[in-house]
Amino acid sequence: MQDRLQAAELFAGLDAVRLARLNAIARGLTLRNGDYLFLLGDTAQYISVVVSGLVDLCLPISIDDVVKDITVEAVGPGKMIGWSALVKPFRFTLSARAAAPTEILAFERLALEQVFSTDPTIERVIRNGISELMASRLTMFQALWARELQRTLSPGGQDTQA
Amino acid sequence: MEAALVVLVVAVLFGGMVLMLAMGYQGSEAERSRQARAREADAAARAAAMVAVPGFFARSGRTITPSNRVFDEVMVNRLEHHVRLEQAVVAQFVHQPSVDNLYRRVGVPNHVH
Repeated sequence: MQDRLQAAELFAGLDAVRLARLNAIARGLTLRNGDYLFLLGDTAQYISVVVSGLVDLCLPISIDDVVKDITVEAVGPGKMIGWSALVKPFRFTLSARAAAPTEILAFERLALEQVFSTDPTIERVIRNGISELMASRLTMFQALWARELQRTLSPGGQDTQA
Repeated sequence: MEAALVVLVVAVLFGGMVLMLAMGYQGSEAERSRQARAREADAAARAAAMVAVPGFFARSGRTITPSNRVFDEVMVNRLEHHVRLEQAVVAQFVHQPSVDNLYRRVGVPNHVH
């Protein structure tokens, strides 16, 4: 299982001893195609790393009282999901659904915080990784919003797209 | 004769007072009605302004009317296709923020701008 941790972007730079500490608190989960790992609004208790398969991050869209999940990002092996577990208010802001048979490793917040309290390097690496992910996600949604706004404000609702 | 004159004066005074009261009431009713119309017009103008404020996915002129809109898998696929195309465009912006990268058209290479 430790090899799987080594492949995770979130743990890049951590040595074998530190990966072993994380390995000790990791919990393996298998999802079938279509299974939900978590739903938007759920209490976030775990961050997860995708080992194999594919997880869709979805945003519920409601039209005429019909709500459907729209995939806004697909997360593959080595990537992390569920940063909300380490950031207040500890609630998921998207839903996560397996888009194929998927294996993940989950790390409970309380167990991680215990590791953090004894090893600040692990905490720094993981929180840096989360910061980078959040910054990337924020920039992406900022850009998507700006493009939609630009289209809305263009004369005659002109599309930015070709 | 004097009594009749007094009665006449009192009647004229009373009639005048009643007339003044009636005219005052009419005036205040007209003012109330004018204020109510002004309030309605103001509320309508504010509602129109609120509708004019763009929403995140508002697409003026291209909105599908509720009568022919069905939120089915086809629409889900279209939305996801749209999001994928848009994400491909903004991925460049995420790594290299610039106005050109932000408003680049889908399918247009970066070097064209």
